[in-house]
Amino acid sequence: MGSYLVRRLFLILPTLFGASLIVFSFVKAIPGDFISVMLGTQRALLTEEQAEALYRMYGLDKPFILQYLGWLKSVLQGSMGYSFRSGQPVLKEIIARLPITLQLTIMATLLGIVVGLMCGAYAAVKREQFSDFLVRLVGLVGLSLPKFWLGILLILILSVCFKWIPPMGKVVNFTENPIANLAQLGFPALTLGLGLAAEVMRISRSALLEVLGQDFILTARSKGLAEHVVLLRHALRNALIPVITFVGMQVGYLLGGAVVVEAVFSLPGIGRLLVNAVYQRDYPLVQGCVLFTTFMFVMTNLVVDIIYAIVDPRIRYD
Amino acid sequence: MFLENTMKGLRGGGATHRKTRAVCSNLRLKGGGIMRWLVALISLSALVLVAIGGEVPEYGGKLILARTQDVVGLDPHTATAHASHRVFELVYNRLVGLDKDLLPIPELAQSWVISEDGKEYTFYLRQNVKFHNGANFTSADVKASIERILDEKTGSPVRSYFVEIQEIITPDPHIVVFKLKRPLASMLIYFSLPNASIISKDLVNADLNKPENVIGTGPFKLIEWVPDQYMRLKKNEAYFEEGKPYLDEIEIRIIPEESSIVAALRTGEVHFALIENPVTAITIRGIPGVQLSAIPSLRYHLVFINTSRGPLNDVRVRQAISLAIDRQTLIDVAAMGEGVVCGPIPPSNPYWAVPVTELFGYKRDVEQAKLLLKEAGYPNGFKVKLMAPIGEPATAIAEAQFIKAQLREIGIEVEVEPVEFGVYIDRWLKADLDMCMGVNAGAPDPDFYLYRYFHSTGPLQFVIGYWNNPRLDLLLDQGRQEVDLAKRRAIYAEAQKILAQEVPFIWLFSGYEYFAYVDSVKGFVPLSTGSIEYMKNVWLDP
Repeated sequence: MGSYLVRRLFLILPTLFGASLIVFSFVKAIPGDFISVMLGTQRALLTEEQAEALYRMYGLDKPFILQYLGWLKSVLQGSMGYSFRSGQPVLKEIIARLPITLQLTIMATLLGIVVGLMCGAYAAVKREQFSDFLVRLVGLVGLSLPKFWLGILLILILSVCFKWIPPMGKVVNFTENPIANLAQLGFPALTLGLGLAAEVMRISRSALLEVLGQDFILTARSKGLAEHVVLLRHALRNALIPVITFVGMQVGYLLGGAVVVEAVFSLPGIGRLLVNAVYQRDYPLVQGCVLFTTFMFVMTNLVVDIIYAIVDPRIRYD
Repeated sequence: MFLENTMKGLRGGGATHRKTRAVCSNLRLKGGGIMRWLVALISLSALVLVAIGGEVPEYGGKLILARTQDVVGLDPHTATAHASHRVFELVYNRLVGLDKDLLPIPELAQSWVISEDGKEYTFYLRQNVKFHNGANFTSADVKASIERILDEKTGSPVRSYFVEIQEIITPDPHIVVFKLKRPLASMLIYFSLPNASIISKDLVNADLNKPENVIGTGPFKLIEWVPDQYMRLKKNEAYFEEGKPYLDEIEIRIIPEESSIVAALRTGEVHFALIENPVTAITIRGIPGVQLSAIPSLRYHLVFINTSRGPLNDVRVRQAISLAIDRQTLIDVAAMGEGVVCGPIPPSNPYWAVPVTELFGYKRDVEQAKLLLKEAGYPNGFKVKLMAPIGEPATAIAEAQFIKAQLREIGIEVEVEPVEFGVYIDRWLKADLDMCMGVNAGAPDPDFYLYRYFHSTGPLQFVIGYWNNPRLDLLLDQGRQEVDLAKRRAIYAEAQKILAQEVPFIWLFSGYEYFAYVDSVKGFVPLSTGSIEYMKNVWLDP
């Protein structure tokens, strides 16, 4: 396990390098650049000298490969450069948005796992009964609802019926005011978590149904174990692998930012940062965000692999 | 008549500004009698207002303003985004301001004199104005600011408006003289642009995109900016306008989704909002406790035509396209009825705009359009591409789809190309297009937007395929230099008629600038430029 971990950790470096190079090339390939997006059609009012001065100021006068190497150098020196738009260090911009993204990911994932597993187990036990159909139907609806629509609907209901909406545009830290913080993030987490719960419910239900049909469950039941013990200790643990795989992937995506929900609830997360950076061709910021999300994705995968081994001792990494 | 007289008094040409100057100096120098009467009159009207239940401004309070876009750059001389301009209007001042009718009024300049030949502008500056860092404002700051704009290294797009300046002289700390190479009737208006904000001379070499270097003389000081979240501005206690601003603080919050802004207005979470999408505006109109101020915008929606590409190089084809589009129905269908049909100068600029009924192509005539296409050699129409930027403005795609449907009736097959804004700009700058949708920022003076597109030496000529017209060239040159207002108006009226006839653009409509606010917000004056500079007049009714 130890050597496996070391090997995996070493693999992170080439992964990050590859991802950054690919994204840098792609973003550069999109027509338009920071100066023309910033100035819009007024870019055409600049003289040659003015334009050159601006491109030089942002280092955009250099050839593609030199720009990339310059960026790489700044990363190796522990900095990620400065955002074109805000003039602030890229690292600072990312760190400022990290708490929101992390908290949203954790809350949505917990909600998804708890609700999803409970409903999945319930539906599996009540297989082909009315309540199974009902849970599956609700799950299907939850899965089909577009998140932006659900988010807007939630805000509309809150504002019209309760004359209240979560605080917008300004983040309240959990340590400063836990209640206001949970009020701010609860509804976006709910919006994200419901879809996740629906998916977890479907996966856990089918995995449980498969496990419940196996011989060792029959053995457990024949030993006279209570049904909840059979379900929780024997069946659920064995049905968790596909759920973990799925949740792991989702956590990776969520850490990359939930753009739509962030926009609807006006939360400054990583997702909006990256999308705005792409729109504005803020190359250092795009690179920084991509490096960060790739790193988070790789780490999540690694953690998922470790959890596999813990949940199912038959899985070994030698 | 009254309007015309007011305009004559203040707008445009140099001769008229000499009158303004005379009025200003009367008040200032021989002040005694007139000033006493004025003060008495103002006090009396204040008393009357209180007596009849009028409202007296309250000091204090924090106003929360919501909008979808954060600033794109904080350098007042280079950032062109409207979102950035709204901040400049609060933090900086210009030499010249605009009143609610977009007429030039004193701002940092208390008064001005324009020489007989229109080539020398002398500004008498306010005394006792301080920058947010405590430094005194003098003519050296004005000189440094305009020189920074003129310096090519700054990369300022407004440099092109000031290139006629030959020399800037500061004979006194409170007098600045601009000597021009040739007369430029629109010069005063250029000094009122947010991009002509006056910065401290000590900061000309600083990175003005950094929030700590945002130091102006304006009514509010920038004290904190968290990108994509909020910006906090505190009252400038030393602001030069007596008694203003009323608010202690403004917090600008970024809420990217307009429907969420509506919800926040409904609950009172925000006091004030800048709205872009007409659909949102319509929603707001029905909400009790929320006011919507919709003022006809100077911005106008249009179709750019690349006249260097066939068949669009034939004027008959362009006329046919213009005749085939029913602009009022386009407003009703694509913009929910939120707009006014416009010609080359939008009706929100009433002094200069020629009514569309007097312009060619504003009455839909499909038969005539077909006839013109046939004469041009395209009896069966042709195929053409129409690029449309997604979301800029919100109605761009809907407008393009509508035009596609209307042009099909005369046999022209339009392919709508929806593109992301950055791609749109890139292609626009290369004139890589047949036709494309767009919104142009208008300006209080016609020279500003007509010369750069339609004069054969205009810097934006390339985008319409270098279309030009000798008669129009002559008119635009005359319009630049003519100081007599009535003559200038006649010049631009003829220019508009030529443009509508020749169709290098298809002018569609101008929408509204929307400002939504809860009932407790008082005193706001909307401007058709979308400016929020009158935030200094706003107060909160507790």
